[in-house]
Amino acid sequence: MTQVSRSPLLEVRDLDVEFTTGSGVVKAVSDVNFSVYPGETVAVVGESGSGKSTTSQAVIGMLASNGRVTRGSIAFNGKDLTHMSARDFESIRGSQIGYVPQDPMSSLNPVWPIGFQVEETLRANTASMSRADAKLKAVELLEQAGLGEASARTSQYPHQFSGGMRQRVLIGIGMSARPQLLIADEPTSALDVTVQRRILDHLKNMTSEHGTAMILITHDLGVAAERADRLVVMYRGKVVEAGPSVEILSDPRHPYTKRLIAAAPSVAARRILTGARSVGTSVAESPTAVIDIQDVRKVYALRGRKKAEVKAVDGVSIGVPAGTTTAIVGESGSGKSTLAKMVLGLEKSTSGTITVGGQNIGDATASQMLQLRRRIQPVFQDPYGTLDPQYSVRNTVIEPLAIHGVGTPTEREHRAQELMNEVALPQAALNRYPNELSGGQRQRVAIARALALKPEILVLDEAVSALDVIVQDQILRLLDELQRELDLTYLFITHDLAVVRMIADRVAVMEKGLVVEQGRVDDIFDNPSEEYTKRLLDAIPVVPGVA
Amino acid sequence: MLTYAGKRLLQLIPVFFGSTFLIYFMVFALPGDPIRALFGERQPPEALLTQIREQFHLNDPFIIQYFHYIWGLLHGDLGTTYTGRPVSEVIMNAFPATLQLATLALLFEAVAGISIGLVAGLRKGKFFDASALVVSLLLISIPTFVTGYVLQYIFAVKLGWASPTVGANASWGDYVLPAIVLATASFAYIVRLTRSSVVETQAMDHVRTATAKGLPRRRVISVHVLRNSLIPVVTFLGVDLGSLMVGAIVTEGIFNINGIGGTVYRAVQLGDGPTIVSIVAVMVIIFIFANLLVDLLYAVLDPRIRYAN
Repeated sequence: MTQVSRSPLLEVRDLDVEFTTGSGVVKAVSDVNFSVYPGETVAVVGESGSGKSTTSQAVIGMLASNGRVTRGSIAFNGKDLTHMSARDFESIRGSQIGYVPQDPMSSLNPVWPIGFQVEETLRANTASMSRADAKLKAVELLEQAGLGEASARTSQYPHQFSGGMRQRVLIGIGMSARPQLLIADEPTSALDVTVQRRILDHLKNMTSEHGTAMILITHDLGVAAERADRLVVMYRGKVVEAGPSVEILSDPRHPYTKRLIAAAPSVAARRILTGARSVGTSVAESPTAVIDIQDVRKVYALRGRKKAEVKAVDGVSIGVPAGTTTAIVGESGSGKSTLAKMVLGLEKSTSGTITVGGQNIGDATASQMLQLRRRIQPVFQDPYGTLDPQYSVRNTVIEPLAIHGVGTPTEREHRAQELMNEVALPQAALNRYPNELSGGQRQRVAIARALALKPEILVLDEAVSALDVIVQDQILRLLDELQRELDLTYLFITHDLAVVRMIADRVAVMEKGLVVEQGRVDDIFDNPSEEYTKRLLDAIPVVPGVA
Repeated sequence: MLTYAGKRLLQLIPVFFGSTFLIYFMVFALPGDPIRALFGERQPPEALLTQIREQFHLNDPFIIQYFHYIWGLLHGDLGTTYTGRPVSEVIMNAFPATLQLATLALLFEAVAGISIGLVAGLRKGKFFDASALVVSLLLISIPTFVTGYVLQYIFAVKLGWASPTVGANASWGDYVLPAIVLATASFAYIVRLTRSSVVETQAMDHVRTATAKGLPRRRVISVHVLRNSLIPVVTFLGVDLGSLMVGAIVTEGIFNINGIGGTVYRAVQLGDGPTIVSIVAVMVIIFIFANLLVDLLYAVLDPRIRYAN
């Protein structure tokens, strides 16, 4: 980089940040050092809780009210930000340091039109700008952001825009005053992969066009490696490694970085094979489909309007061979979750038949359905939302046994202990509550609950999507071990093709309610015939040196 | 928006008939003979009783009585009380006082409640917030007749800032003290509601965006926190308007106000069916319109609701 000779735009030195909580002082960031030179992109990488977001919040003076910088300095253009007054910070935020938030769905005010929210940013950061000028400038900004018919759409509200469009608006807002530094805090982690790529390209165009430096905060090593000149790897509040992206990826020094690179799911990765078995043969040997989906449709009628309907699932046929993993992959809105719900019998299909283990779900009686539920169990995406916070882990895993009247209390207790072993949690975990567990541990509990009744089939709906890569890798390995030991069949719903490659034998790609392509994972990945599948595959960030 | 309002107005019809029918039925089921009760200790001639019963269709079955009543209502006739006065006159007599009282009470609880709630929410965990929470809890727990008599004693009797009773031809000023008494509990509730709503909104992502894009704090609060926080408060205010109008019996009693609450109460004691049903019908209409107003206001405050319909 040619900028190195110049003085840094932002220089963080020996930074400590502490939070005062009910249970004492927690050090969230300690001894952090890094600098950002004008015009360059620096990625701060780490898992949740690593202190990467806290660091960026300290830079723009927006730490939560119980947090404060206890040591060190943050020099921006030579001025120390750590001792700046709230009023002085207002003149720096927006105009000199821009910010792009993580979740576009919640980061725009739902009660004000898009145009208004851009205009007020312009007026706040530009001296003596008239209302009319701000209006014109806002339209211009939104056009740059890639919004068609911008002048007509300024009066629309955030909920009338897609997630990708909202993020473009937010990038427009962040860049509106042409700041010298832009902080992008996980700008794409809430978006679909194909949208993610376009948004990152857009961010790059905007910053390089105006010579803006960028701090890209991300948990995704692929995104970081692809987009940043230099990496700062954070782990438990500390910087464990920093330097040019290529060097770090090809020669990671710190054990955490090594683990992070090893765990990063990639398209080039291969099926996890924990035991001695061959995937190809197992598929061929069991031609009988344990889940048989035949021409299933799900149509939702729109309220209030006649004949208006949404075809969530539009004639899908998939067979899931016993003892294997079939992945259904697609973007949000592709109908994959609706399909999963129908297989679980939580939604009724409009037409078509779904047979699970020989039982047609469509004409099952209530008691047949109850019997079937012992054989097919779900694991959902959000381990924070799917466990009852009032239930201890023991109650959570025993509840299905109680509902189905399985065993005596002693036998149930025994089964609970057995389940903890199966999902590799300590026995002591039985007495704990969800809020005392980490995300990965909670997902293990969710899997234990699903396994309690010794089902044959698990429907995993985005079951690893909310987890950090290293934890995700652990859970995928656990799932594979369980499959081999208990001879389970998985229907694995995901938006992440890299995960598909690691866990699935067969894959069905869904787009707008249709299966556009299905077959063996290797065949599809090596030879995608559909344009849509190619787009999905291209969108996965590649970690150089791993691929 | 217009079709939405129209739909809501159509809903008025079943609600109106349902509620009047129910009230009529309950009045019908009241024990005792209201006509005989009119004469107190005296023994009226049977012929007179029969004539009055005929006049009010009291010998007909319940459902016929109800139809007589609705038929009159549809012709703009609210009927007459058992003492012979037109019900419309009784309502017109009592209504202005109640309306003045309720309007002032609503104004007070909205302005004071939202302001104090906002400040408390912005200073979460500080002294002002803690005191607001304690005081509001206290105000919610004290019954109206206690606050009523205490405030009346302090401000009217001891300090002489207000008149202790509100007679006929009272000015708006005379209603201030009773309005505050009437609004106390709701005021305290609005303080708490606004406070928790403000605390919640402040933690939202879009408020962080507003701060990060360089807006001054004052603007972040007034434009991005306050408006979003008001949505649940507005709902409460709408529902409360109804209870302020009918629920003022105690306050009306303390300050000797001739209002709707007291009128209904006396009518119930006398078993005066036409009066009760008519007043309740008027109340139901006011209640429905207040809620319609809230729903429309809701749509103004939150565009997601506006466009969902």
